[in-house]
Amino acid sequence: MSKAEIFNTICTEIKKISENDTLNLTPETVIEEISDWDSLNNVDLEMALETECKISFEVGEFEELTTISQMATALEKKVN
Amino acid sequence: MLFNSYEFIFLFLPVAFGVYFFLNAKFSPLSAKIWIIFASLFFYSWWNINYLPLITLSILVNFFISQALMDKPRSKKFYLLAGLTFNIGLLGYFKYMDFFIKNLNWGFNTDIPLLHLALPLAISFYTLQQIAYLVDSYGGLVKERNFLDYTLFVTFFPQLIAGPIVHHKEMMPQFSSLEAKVINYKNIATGLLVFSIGLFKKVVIADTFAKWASAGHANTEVLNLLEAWATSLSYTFQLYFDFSGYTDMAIGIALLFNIKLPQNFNSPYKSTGLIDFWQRWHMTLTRFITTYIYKPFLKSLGKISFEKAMFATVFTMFIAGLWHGAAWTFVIFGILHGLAIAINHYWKKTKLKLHIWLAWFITFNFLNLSFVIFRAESIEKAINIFTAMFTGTFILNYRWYDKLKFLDGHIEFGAWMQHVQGDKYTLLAIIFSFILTLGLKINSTTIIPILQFNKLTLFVGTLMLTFSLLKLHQVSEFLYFNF
Repeated sequence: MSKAEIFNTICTEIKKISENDTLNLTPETVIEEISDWDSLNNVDLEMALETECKISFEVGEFEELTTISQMATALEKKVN
Repeated sequence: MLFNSYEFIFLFLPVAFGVYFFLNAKFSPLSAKIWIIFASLFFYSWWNINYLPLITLSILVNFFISQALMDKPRSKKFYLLAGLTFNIGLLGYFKYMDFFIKNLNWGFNTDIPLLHLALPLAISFYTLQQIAYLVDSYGGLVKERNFLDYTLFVTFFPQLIAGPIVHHKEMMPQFSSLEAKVINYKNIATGLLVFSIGLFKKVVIADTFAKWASAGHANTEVLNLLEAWATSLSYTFQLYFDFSGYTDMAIGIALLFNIKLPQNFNSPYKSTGLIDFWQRWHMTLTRFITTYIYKPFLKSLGKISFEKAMFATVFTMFIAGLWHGAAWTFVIFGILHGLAIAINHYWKKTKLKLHIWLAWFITFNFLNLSFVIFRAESIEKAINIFTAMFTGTFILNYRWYDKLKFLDGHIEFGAWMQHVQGDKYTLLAIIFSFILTLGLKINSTTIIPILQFNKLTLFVGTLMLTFSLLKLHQVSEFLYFNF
């Protein structure tokens, strides 16, 4: 997967989980600052990305990633 | 030693601070680090030196296991299991053994004698921090391996007793950074101001409410309606000002040493839902239980579904409730909060929007009621208070009779606050606290980056500090020292 594909996957999953297609997401978007985002959404996102990208996160690893860009970089390392 | 005591403020803190920066400037950062570990252990032992070997053992065992986890990847499952067993075993033995025996005796009609162990101070806090370190070592997420930094991460006195529950990732790099070793006047000024805010919250506000809350909880059988509400609201405000006051003091003291502790409160009584509340209240505990209990538990249930997530939520809050103490009241408190969070999630799914004031009203009343259970000495006593809150006699102050004579026959006049040892100031303090917790746009954390060091700040800070110092002769412990 290329970085652009990973970025798109993350954005698609976030929109699906928050049930909001109109979200304006950029690499700098801080996940926790997305309107109405909570810890349940965060686990949903973590597990969705694990399934989509066929990778797994260690306990505590996902919490370190605060922006979409950090998430994409971490996923890129794991996927490739 | 308590933060709110003369010996801490006028003796321990100035000496710890002065020697730390003196050693950094004249000798070496290493000697300063050893000094601050010594000072922290001295601070801890001031209460009871008998528990010093326990915390030392806990640090040594956990550090040894964490190193083995990193060095011997083949047997890391074994080491993680051993580490978790050690930590949970230690906590279980000292904190939950008598509770377990009591229930066993009750359930099976046995007569096993209780151990009557005193809870070692801070054990609930330092155990959590070290479990996180072990789990992260297992996952390969730990980069810092310095033993002194590790010891300081566990024992650093501002946060040792009752948090904030710090994470090694945010602390250990700070202890090894050079910036922490030079006196920073801005940090000192900010730290002293935040410390003063915390001290004021504790000794002026929380300790005032403590008197009414304790009296009410000691007289649950005889409370009238207003007394019962005064009891519950007094405790709700006492708990917040006590714990957030302690946290402010911890954050302020750490800043003197150029160490930034994580935020623990964000105006929690402004919450408009239970999910919102736990993102604003004891935030470092929420962070720990979400990362190390909720998520791993939910993931272990297989494919995620909403129902499973809600089950995991209730389970996690059950553990969080039990973490506070070994009693059924804490278990019920935890489960109630878990259920309320689940209801909040269901509501979110419906996309129906409540008016913000109604959402706040429901949330605040739920919190106020749940804190009755949290504080009560037994479930029966909590039920007494609930009964009085909703079906108690409505009695107004007899002094108001002349002005409210027209109500005679409909409402009783008499001793209206006797059983909580309160008076009209109880009512005023409650109104004042509502204004403080809801009306201010800033709080002690959000103020830090925007602080202006002008005459007004100096005046307000000095006023709070002086007021607090004058009240220090009646020293009282912090509520969270019992957890």
